[in-house]
Amino acid sequence: MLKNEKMRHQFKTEVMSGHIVEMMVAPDALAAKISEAEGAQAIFSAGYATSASALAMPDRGIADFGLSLERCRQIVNAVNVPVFADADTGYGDLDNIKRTVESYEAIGAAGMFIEDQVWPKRCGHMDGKKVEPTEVLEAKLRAAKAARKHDDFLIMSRTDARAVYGLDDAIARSKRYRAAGADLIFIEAPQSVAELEKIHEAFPETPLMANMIEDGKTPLTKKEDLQKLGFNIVVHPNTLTYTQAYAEKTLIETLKRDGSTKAYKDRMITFPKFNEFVGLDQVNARDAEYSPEKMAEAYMH
Amino acid sequence: MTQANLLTYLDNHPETIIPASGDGNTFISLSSQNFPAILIDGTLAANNLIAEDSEGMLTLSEYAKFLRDMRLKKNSLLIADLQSGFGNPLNTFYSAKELERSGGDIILLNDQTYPAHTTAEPITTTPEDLIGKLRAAKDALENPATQIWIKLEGIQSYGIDGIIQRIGYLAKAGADAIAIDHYDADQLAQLAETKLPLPLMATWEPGTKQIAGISGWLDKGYLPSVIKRAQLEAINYIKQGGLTYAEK
Repeated sequence: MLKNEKMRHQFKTEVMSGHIVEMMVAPDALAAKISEAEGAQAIFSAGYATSASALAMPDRGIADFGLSLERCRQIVNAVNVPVFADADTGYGDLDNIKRTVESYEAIGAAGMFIEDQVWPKRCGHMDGKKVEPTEVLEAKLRAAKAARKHDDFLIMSRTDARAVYGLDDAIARSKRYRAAGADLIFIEAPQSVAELEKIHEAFPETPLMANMIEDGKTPLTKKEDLQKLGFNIVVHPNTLTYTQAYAEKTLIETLKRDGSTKAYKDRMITFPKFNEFVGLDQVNARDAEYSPEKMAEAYMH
Repeated sequence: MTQANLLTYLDNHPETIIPASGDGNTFISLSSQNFPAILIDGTLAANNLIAEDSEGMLTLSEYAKFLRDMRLKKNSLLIADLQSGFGNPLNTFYSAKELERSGGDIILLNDQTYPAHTTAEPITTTPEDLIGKLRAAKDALENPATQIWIKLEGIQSYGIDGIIQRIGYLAKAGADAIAIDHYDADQLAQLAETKLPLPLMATWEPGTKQIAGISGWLDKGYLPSVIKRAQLEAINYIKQGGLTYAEK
C-alpha cells in the first residue's frame, strides 16, 4: 500500500474506531515530527499555526491556498501518521473547491475541512466572525465530494455559526452539511461542556471534532472526558505555536541579559540529540551507500 | 497505459514521438490528444518558469511544483526530468522521491555533472557516479511501477564503445530504458544495430531521421519552438502597428 493510501485508511479507521484521536496542530515539519515521535496519532496542518509560522501574521485569511498547501505537503512528507488539512473556506467558489480537494488529496493529506465563514475568515475563537448562508457550504461540500478520488479522503464541515447565531443554528447548519455529504462534523467554539454534550446529542452517529484552544471560547477539557462526551477527534491547535513563541522569547531575553545562552542550555535539546532526531546518521549512511567504490564493485565487473 | 505497457507500446510503434512540455498552455494542448506519455522537460520548464535557457538554473522544488500542477490536469503517464539528480547520489535519492510524490510515473535521469546544462556538448559524469545516482533513485521510489530511464548525453566524448559499456552497467544496476542525446545519425544507426540489454530511445527534433531499432523518440520541445516563432511574428506585427500609428 502506498503512503498516501495508508495514511487515508489509517485516519478513517482511527476516527471510526470509537476511541478518540488526538491530533496535534503542527506549525511546520519539525513540529510534526516531534509530535509523531511523542505519540500524536495524527497531525493537523491548520491555518492559525501556518499563518504564524510562515508569515508571523494572525489567522485572518492572509495565508492563501498555495502557502497552506505547501506547508501541509512538507508535513505529510516528514511524518508517517495521518495529516489532516485546514482548507479554510476552500479559497473561492466551487471551481476553487475542486482544485483545493484535488491538490490536498494528491499531496497525501488524509482529509480536510471547509468552513462557512465569509472570506477573509478569522480564527474560530476571534470576535467579529461572519458566516455565509447555509447553501454556500452545502454546495461546496457537494463539490468537494464530487472532486475527491477516494472515499476515504474524509471531508469535514466546519461551522462558525455558534458565535454569530447561537448553538441551535450551528447544529441545524451542520445537519444540512452532513446531508450534503460531510463525513465529519466540526462545530467551532462551543462555550460550555453542556454545549459539547448538546452537539453529541444532535449527532450521535457522526464523528465529531472538538477544538481545545488555550484562552479560547471552549473550556479546556481532557481527552478522556471528550471521549465520554462522544467526540472522536480532539485537536490542539495553538499549543505548539505558543510554546515555540514563549521558548524563543525567553531564550532571547536570557541571551540579551547574560550575553550567552549558558543559563538556558538545560531547556534546549543538545546538538547530538537533535542530529540524531532528524536522522543525520541515516542520511550519512545513505550517502556512503552509493560511493564510487561500492558502485564499481557491484555493477562494473 | 502503465509504465510497463508504454515500453511495449513503443516497441510496437517505434515511430512514436513523446512530446515535451514546460508550460501549462502547451501541456493542455498535448493532454487533449492521445499521446502515450508527456515529458515535462527541465529546459522548457526553466524557459517558462524563470525565463532561463538552461535547465540547471531551475531548482528541484521549482520544477516539482510545476509537475504537481500538471499532474492534477492529466491522468496519463508523465515523464519527470530529474536532470542530473540535483547534486550527488544522496541528492538524487531525495530528488527522485520528490518527483515521484509529485506525480512522475517515469523518472528521466541524465549523465551530466551537476548542475546540468542545456548545451550541445555537456560535461558528463563518471559511470560510478551515474550508477550511484541510479541506485539512489531506485531506492527512493515507493511505487514499484515507477520506472527510471537514463538519458546518455556524452556520446561525443565517450564514443560508441563508451556508451555501450555504460548501457551494460546501467542494465545491471536496474535502469528501465536508455535515451541517447547529442548523437549524429551514423552513431545512432550503429547503436541501433547493436544488441543492447535495454530498450533504446533517442531525442527528437524536426529533421531527425527516424531509423529502425530505436523504440521511441523524446521530443526536445518542438511545440514550444513553434509557439516562440509565432510570438516573434506577433510581436513584429504589434511593432509595425505601433509605427504606423506614430507616423499618422
